[in-house]
Amino acid sequence: MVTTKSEIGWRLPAGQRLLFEDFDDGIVMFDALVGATHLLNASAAETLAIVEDAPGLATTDIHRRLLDRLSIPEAALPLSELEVLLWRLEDLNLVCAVAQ
Amino acid sequence: MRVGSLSRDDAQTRMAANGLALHIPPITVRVRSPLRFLAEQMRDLYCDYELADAGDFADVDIRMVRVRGIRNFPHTEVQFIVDGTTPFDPFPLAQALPMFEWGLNWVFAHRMHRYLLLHAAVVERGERALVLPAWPGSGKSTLAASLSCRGWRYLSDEFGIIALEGVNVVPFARPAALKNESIDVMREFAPDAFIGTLYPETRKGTVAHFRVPTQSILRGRAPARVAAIVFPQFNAGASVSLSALGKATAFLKLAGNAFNYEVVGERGFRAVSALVRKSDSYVLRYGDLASAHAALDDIVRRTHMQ
Amino acid sequence: MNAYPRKPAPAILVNAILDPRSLADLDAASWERVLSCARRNAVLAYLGECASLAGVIDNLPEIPREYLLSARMSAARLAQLARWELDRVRRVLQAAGIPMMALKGAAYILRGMPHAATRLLSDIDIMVPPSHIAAAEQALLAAGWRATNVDPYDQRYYRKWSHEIPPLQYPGRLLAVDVHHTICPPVSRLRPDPEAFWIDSEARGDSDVRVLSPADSVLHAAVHLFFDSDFDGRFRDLIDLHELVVAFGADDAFWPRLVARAREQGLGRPLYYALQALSRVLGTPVPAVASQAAIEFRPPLPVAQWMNRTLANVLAPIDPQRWPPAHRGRLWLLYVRSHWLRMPAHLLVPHLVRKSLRRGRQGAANV
Repeated sequence: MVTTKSEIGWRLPAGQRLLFEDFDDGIVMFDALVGATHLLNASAAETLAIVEDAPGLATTDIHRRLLDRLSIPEAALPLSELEVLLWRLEDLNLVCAVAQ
Repeated sequence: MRVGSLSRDDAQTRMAANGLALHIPPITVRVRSPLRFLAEQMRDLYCDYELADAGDFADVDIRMVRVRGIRNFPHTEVQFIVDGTTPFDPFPLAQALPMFEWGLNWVFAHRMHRYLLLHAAVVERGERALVLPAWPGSGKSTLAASLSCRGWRYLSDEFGIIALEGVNVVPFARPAALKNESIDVMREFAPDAFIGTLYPETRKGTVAHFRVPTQSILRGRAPARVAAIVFPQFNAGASVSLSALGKATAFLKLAGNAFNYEVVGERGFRAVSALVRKSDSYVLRYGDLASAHAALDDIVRRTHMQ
Repeated sequence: MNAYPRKPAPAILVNAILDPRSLADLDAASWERVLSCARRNAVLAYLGECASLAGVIDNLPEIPREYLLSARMSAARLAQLARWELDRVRRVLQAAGIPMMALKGAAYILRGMPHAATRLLSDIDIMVPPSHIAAAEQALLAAGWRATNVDPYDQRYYRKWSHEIPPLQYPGRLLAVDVHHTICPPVSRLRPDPEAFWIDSEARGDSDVRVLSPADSVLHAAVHLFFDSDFDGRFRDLIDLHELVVAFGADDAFWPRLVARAREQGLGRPLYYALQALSRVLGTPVPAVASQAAIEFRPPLPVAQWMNRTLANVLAPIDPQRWPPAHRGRLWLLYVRSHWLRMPAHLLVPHLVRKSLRRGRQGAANV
């Protein structure tokens, strides 16, 4: 089954709540649904915030917003890297993929 | 009335009949056992604690009974019974007291989720509490015991009990379990301190218990505000060095070493966050007690100036 | 203060479960004994939930209330871990095209039953069709789960006599996974048709994990209570049965279906005992029509009378004050099981003793 990138959108799982605490040396996040605590870097934290604020966005749209929020060029965080991150987050039940 | 005001016979009779019950804030514990030597050892270590009536509500009721030994030799082992169950394999009879101490720790850690329970020693000076988390090689128990002989208040050597609503730590003052070389180190550092019976060949080596100084017991249940979290690292002969720790790093270390962080869930997350935000975190490397004390004195002095 | 002899803790506990308002009358000593008894029988969190649902928990004295709340927190955490484990297993089995059903505690969680998050699980139970059991084991092992007992005796036992492969555990995670392919041991006198359970099963949530139908859930719980459970957990297992009956029994269509299903699947005897036990120990409301119908499944009268007399004793909560603990219940269950399992007693006794020793060591303690 092959899907093009723009066919997948992302949202938080039903009943999910994410709590963030920003510190100088990292962002600590609590996944209230699973009861797990994670240490995140800025790109992972911002990605989750974007998905939480705007559920259903396609990968490419998230990528655009992410580069904007972090004020970094495309070379610093290519789309492929974001895809890897999103599927990693999906495996941890932090986000879920929806067909668009 | 204090445990120490009982005669040896009274203590033994109580324990063998309806139980020796005492207040160990924040809980009340009742111990029932026919073992006379256990009553005597407890009377020594808990002499300053308030007695409870055997009929009062006890948070934990523990029975220590003789059981048949594995080599079929009758009555050479002791068993720890709580709520009609035996959570552990039996211990050699002579180790009844260490078994009681470890057993009570285990029971406490499993049922007191109204608090966040850090695995740490806690001491206080001048209204400022220091949390000293446990990890291999920390020497936290020896540190806490020695500090309490130099004017610090001893809150606990094992449990940093954090009230979920704030950043206060609540005492749970119990005899500090010293192991192997630490026993001699303590004797040398504080010759007047009371150290109880020596128990060789326990699962953790040779163990003896440091009795909590009367002054600390008299401070009772009063909570204390956490000023700093200091991760101690003992290395014989090393010179002392104190380094600041990032808050996210401190967060994960604290949460990882807590007894019940995962059970308490979101409120635990909030409590640890508040703790690391409102206090400073350090790693303290030390090779001798005096230098460690000086460094910790310094930390408290600094927090007073803020 | 109280001139009358104290009621035994098991009686206070059952009373409190059936009518949580009675907790308001307890004095300090009774509170201590009820909390201890509830802990011993792994129903402290459940008692807390009963008090909460009855709207009385906020009015209880602070110290007992905090213990009830703490117990609920511990159990809720285990339910959270169970959901996670189910999710991890589902991903693997779904990718391998293997149908999956959640049983017992895992099923109660998926159904969102009120008592689901009050149980102290040490593992989750799932079922796959008998033809897929080997593939399921392979898929989970390949994905990182490990067999938890490599003892050759136990391996042989599980594969030959039982209805499970040995439990699998993912390194670093607390809960093990028991993968079943039927709900009764293959050599027992009880030979329900596994396929019928799949046909009547229901899907749950937005995933494809299935659960037994209401009638089958009750029958499975009955089989488990009498023929499968740990010696120690029987009052808790009876509570599970009670909750199922209360949840499904509100629907009038449930009862005739339950009796018919029991007859179809040859599970009438466990159903008869289950209804008797619920009535005698907990007074669970059962329509007269259903109890009458279940008499069809009763054993010969002298056996029935002996069994029913013993039931209330054996299934009531264990009193933690008794030391050493009584053995009568164990012998009774041993007899019942060896009879129904068709296993020679000399094989059954050593295995069950090993099993209970091992569970004791794993320390899934009643806290």
